[in-house]
Amino acid sequence: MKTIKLGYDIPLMHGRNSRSASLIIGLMVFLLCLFCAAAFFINDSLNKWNNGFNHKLTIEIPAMENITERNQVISQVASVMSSMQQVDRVEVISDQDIARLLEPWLGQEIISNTNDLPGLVDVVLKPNTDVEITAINDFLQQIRPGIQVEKHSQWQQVSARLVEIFRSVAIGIMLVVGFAVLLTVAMMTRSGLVVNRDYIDTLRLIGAKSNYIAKQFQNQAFWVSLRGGLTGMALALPIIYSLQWGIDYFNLNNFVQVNLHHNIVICMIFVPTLLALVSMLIARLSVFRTLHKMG
Amino acid sequence: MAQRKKINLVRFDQVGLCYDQNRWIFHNLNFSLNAGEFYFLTGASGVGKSSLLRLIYRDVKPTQGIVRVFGRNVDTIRTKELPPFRQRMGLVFQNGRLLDNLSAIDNVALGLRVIGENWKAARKRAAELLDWVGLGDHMNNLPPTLSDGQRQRTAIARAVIARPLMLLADEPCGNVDEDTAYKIMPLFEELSRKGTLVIYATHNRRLLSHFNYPELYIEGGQLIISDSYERESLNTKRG
Repeated sequence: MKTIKLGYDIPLMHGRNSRSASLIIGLMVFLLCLFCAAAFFINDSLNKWNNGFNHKLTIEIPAMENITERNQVISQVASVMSSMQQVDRVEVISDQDIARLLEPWLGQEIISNTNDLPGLVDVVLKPNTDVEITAINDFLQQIRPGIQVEKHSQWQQVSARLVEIFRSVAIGIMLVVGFAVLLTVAMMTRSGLVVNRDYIDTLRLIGAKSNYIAKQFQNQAFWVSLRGGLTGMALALPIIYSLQWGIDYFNLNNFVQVNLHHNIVICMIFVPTLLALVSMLIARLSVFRTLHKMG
Repeated sequence: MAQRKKINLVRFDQVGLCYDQNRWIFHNLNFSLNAGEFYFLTGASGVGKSSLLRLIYRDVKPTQGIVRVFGRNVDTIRTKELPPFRQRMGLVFQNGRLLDNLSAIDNVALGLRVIGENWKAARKRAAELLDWVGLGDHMNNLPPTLSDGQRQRTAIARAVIARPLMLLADEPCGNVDEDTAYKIMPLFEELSRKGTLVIYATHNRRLLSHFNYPELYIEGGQLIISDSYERESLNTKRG
């Protein structure tokens, strides 16, 4: 027995129009999901770097010709810092590590020929504590003038600015892609109204209210968007998982934070659902506007 | 015998219709039609039969004068008021205007679904009506697989399913053979007996002479109403 799908008097779901719209929406949602995940990853990574910087100080002891004196100053600084209540631990950076850090800038030859390297002391503060950098700096000047305390604030500022820029760009791109999806839905609805003009005229002549006709178009928009959205999400998920796997595999976790935590999954489920609901609304408004113009 | 009170459904007062500036379809039409009456609407092709019906179901507005349907001036009906207005009438078009993607039963059920009836109840009533019009065996056929006569009967079933106060049939048998046209007529007659105003547009004069109903004849932008007796003499004059 031949039956029809409930709620569709107008043949909306079987046309090329619907399939093309689903495909376009699928691609858009695919991009949207990737961008959404990238936004989370970059945000998490920057937060991780920030957290790393937040509880760290680096004290730089200027280079001295007398290595013994330099080592004494380093020991004094380490001792003073260790005695502070807010300090969790103090680590003196070895000359080899300092040489390795400076090598890219100075070159291996200069590094191997020089004995007067600066001293570096990393200080890790206890969680939820803060220190007065100026006071520490002043105090350390009494041990040796020229000692500098760096709280990585400039990196934090750069990082904060990056987060801000990236957030703005992400919102901008999401809005553009979202707008493109809604435009696709509006165009699909309008072309559906044109292609099925005879059906719509008949329905109106037999007394169908605009709401009755609009419901069919809004249902179409909902299912087409949801189908496209879920397809886009299904395509994006393996790529994101692969990215996570690649980061783990190449041991890049220290640099890039890639965790498919529940925020990302919720966001990715939320995107197609929200798009489907907004598409419904757009289709409904388009139909009402067109029917009103038809008189 | 006590006369039943006539319920006026359609009233034309000084109605004129003009699609473009110099082409008047009607001039000063004045007539009224009541519930339970049956009229043939006749005239040559292109004379304005469909336009007259379109004025009644407010697909066009009169250029001059007032058209009252169900006591309401159609010119004042707003777009959102049109659906409930049209739900009180049944329309049958020459080409049937069936939805090709729906089966015969779903096409008929549409007449009830658009007024908010649920799917199951609408289909049940549609099945009864299709039986009544002799299409009980073709309920699940799609319109393209039905003959012209079957399509017209399906369209009639859709038009009457909501028990309209008025049935406007625009050449419902224009595409069917003479026999089918005669077979369909009793459906309209029965509706008329039940109190529906039926206006049946046709150019088939043999049908008119066979059935004894008054005629609304359009000629030169004017409407002449004649009963079957007068028609005989008019026919003689028209040659």
